[in-house]
Amino acid sequence: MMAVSKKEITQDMFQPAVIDKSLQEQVSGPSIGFWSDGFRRLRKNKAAMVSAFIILLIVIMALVGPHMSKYGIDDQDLKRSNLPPRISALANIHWLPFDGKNEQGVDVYKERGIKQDLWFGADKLGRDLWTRVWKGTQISLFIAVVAAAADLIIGVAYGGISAYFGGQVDNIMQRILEVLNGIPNLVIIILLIIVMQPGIPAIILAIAMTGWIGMARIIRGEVLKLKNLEFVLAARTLGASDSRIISKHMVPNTMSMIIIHTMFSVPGAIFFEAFLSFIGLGLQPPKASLGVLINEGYKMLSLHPYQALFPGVIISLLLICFNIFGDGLRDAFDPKLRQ
Amino acid sequence: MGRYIVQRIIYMIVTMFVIVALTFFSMKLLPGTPYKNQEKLSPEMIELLNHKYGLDKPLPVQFVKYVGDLLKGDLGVSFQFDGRPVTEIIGERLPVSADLGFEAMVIGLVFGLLLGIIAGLRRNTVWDYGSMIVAVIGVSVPSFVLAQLMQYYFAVKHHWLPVAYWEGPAYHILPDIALGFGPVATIARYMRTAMVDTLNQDYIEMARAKGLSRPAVTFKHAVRNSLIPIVTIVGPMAVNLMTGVLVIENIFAIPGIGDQFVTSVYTNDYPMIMGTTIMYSVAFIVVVFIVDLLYGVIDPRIRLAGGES
Amino acid sequence: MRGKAKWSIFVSIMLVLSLFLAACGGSSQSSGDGGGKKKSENQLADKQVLYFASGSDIPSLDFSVATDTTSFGVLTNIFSGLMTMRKDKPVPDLAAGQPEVSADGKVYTFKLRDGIKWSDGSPITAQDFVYAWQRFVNPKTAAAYGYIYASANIKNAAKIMDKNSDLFGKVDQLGVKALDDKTLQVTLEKPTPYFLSLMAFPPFFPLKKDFVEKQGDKYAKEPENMIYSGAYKLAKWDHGKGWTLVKNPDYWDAKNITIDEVNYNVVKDDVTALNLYKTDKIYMDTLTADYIDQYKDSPEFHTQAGNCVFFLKLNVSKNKILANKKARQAIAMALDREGLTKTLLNDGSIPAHYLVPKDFTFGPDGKDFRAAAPKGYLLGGKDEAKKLWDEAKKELGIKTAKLEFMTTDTTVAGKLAEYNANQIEKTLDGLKITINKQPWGEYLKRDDAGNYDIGGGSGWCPDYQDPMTFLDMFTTGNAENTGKWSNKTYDQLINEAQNLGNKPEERWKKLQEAEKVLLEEAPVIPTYQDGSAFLVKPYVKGLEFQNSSPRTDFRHAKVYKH
Repeated sequence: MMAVSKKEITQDMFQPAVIDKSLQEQVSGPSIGFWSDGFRRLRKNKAAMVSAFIILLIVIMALVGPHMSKYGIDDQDLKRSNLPPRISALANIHWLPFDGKNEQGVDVYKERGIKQDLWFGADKLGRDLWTRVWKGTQISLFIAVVAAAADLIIGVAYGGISAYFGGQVDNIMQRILEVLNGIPNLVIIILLIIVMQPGIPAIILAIAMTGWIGMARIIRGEVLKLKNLEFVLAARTLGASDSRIISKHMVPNTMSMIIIHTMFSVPGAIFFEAFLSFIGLGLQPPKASLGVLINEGYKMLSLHPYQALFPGVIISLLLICFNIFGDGLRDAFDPKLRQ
Repeated sequence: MGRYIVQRIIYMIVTMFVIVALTFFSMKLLPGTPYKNQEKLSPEMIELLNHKYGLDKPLPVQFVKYVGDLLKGDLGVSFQFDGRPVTEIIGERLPVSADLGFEAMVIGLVFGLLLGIIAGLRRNTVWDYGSMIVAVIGVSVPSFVLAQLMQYYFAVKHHWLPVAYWEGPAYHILPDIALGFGPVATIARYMRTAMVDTLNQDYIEMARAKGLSRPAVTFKHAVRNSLIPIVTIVGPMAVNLMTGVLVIENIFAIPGIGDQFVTSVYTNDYPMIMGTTIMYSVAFIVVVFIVDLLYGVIDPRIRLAGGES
Repeated sequence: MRGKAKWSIFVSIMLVLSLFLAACGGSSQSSGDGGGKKKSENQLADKQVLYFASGSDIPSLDFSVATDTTSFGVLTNIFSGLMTMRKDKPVPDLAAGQPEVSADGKVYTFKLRDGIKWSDGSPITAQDFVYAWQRFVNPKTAAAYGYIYASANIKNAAKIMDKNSDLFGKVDQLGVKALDDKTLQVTLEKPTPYFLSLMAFPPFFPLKKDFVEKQGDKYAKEPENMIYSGAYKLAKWDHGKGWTLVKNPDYWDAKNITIDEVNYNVVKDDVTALNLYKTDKIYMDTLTADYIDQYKDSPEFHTQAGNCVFFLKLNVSKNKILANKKARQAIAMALDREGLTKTLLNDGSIPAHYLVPKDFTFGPDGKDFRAAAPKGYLLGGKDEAKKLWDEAKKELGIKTAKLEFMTTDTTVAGKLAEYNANQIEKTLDGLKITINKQPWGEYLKRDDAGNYDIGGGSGWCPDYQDPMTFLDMFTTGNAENTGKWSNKTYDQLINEAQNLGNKPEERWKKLQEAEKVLLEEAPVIPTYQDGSAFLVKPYVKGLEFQNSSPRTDFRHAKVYKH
């Protein structure tokens, strides 16, 4: 899932799935083969490997990209205002948007006497979009990790505990959830703007407040279904503790739902961050995330399409790759799918 | 069961009260006044206006009065729209949003379930990847982008459909699709995953082994047992769609309630903030309750009533 | 399966790409459609009906509650006052010609026109004015625009609304009297040169007592809860969706009103409004900066300079750096206002080195207030800014400094903040600016409390047609002067001007001098005078645009066949 951007977390994610299945399903069997088997199958899944490679590439570019241009994120020059992208080596391939011409077909570089290539063009204030897009990718990747972490840590635990214990516990926990969902988010966010310094901690707090509610509800529904299945009863009969049953049986069996839900909540979080930044709680300008860049670029879509195109393509690529990789991961490590 | 329902209804009332109270007090912490030209008003003038609208009384007194009025079904009058009762504004606008949301939801359910079931049954085929593509586009292309692209292509360029407004059936097509596309993607994806999970369960193999026909296995066992996550997400999704979606309503100039919430928070229109919050929360809580009841219908093994105790 | 997987990734990437690309491909050929067909250009359309989009619904149609331009736009069409604005000049409406003014300039006597009536057929009388005015200043009404009566200097208005005065709530002490059914006499505290233009402003319109009192709380809530006195009647009001005005046959000048019906639809999205315009569903559309380049050369394109001025407020009292005059002047000169208006805003806004806008007020000699200093003050530019900043640093004994640039959370404010902050940082060595966005309510609160360094979300739109509405804000102790700048010369000049109502030439000079003192001291740094850009269909002729309501004056327009 999202955590893919940082290696450690990827492992975190599948670790529990691994241990439980092996111990659970093959009580007396050797658990050695599981890991290597999983990796072997993951490697064989070319789509997943290509996705992993693209994600890695984007992560590297996010770190290296900003240093490849001589302009910083706030180097403004109105002479470069809304300058279309140009890569001289590719300028002759006309279906690519790198010929330095605007929508009317005028070579803006020539018109304004600019020698330097701007690979992704420039925004309204004449800032180099290459630098801004990769800097923004850094931030958005971070947001993705935060959102995934909120989902996994708070959402999964909350939903799992609520459904597993059921009865009054479930009742109270679900009512709390309804209250959290009911109080208008925007009111709380505006109050946060006033008391907090805008920035990363504020974004994390805002996401951690309600970002996980959807996940908690999904997991609750799944666990409600699972907890009466035979293998859980069996585990309980064998004397497994509650926490063990939740973490080793329930959560792994909801893995596919967790992956899918993360896929939907991460882009949600990326655009939520853009909204936070817009109203003043998130990043303070001139910093910008991909979400902010898309929101800004979108307004110029019909005139300067490249301004939304590059951040849009990166987000789309990330999502597709996360998704395929996530599916691949699950397929590789899900014992049920071993056929 | 009867006892469970009564108990849940009591809980619902308590939950609503907590939401009303927390929203009321946190909303009063918002900076600014509900008066539109506040930047030009002197402190004396603001005092005079606060007195006129009863905002000069201590907060607990205001709260007690609000709850008293609320129990009588009076949500107060809006500040943005001079003196118009909040109930009247919601009464005018909510049906429009609900209409739009309902149609989008139908699109989402019909196409989403279809796509999801087919993708789940035909795993790793063109169908499967097709549904994945739709899902990825559904999440990574924001609905406002899709809405404007369609508006441009179908209305401005080709004049096939109206640009905006909310009149006859033709006016519903673009907003319905724009709003329904996300749900199609989401539902298809969840359904596909749930189907794959379910199809791998032992009882499906059991059913097949017993010699049940393919459609029977699919619909009696696989689809039904895959509905838990769908019901979980569809409930709140319907509430969100039917209580007004700001961007789509703005893009198609639909007089729904979508913008009311945001605008009322920004303009400190206290009665409107409360009104929209109550409207949304009541819908959400009721839907969550229905979802819980549906769990039991879909999977009789799930018993919320008795619980573990 | 693997093959298919690869294929599907490729397809999905291409699809996402093509969605974005489709957006670009499509829109570029859009400009220029809708140009009228030649042959029918000179023939009037059968129906004189206009279609417009409005960014918001009408918040209120009660004068005492309305405060926004949408409401005032409708109000000035469906109700009449003594005067009405045409091309930003007051011309008699219900008044039969210009009023008689006493020698000391304090007493105005208006004669009402013959045959003026409400839409229920009853005559409009001088008593209707007295009733409406007394209702407006009544503390029980608590009209949000109440202060406008004090700005108009109407006798006792301020005291009636002041709780600490013994005249509090005594509305019969207001300086307005009906000498008879047709004669209205207004008494002012002191001569007020802009008084007549205020008479075209809805808070000074008449109301029929019997009707308003009979409607009670329902007054002005729905079309049937109003009787009209203006050129139009509100025929339909679908809350949230739009409204329709139809010509009022009872209006005294009905024979000269050419448009029979005007339909408004609430359209909040700019792009949607533009698309409606392209498809001839609306006849006029205001353009946002982003779309202006596309239409700049179209014959349908128009711009109009506004009369609001935007500025940075510097907190002189709390911040040591900003207390230094040279530092303030350096900041004022560091900004490139040309780039800001030409490239960033691009909507007809003009760079402002001045506080009183251009083409806004005209002196007793008929010349623009700006004639004294057409360009404004502190025109030094970046080099001088650098020099001043170095001197300031020496005086302050610092090498580096940090300032906070507070702004609001609108798109335009955000962009302007980024631009201005960058300009200041880039020009003034060692100065670091951080941007702080706040919601409007909180911005105002911090502004009031003087809790900021640079207030960048501020602007001022005039309350009445006189330089004073801009200049009295910065006197010592004025509530708007939150940076707490204080200057004796300035205070004295303003004070003198306030008492020179019947010596307009001298007053004018004092005001011009005051502006000079203020801006050279730079506690406030003007950046631009606003403007708006819009498209009008070629088959709609005779629309007039002005800065007072009704901003789009269609009363005498004509629609041609298209």
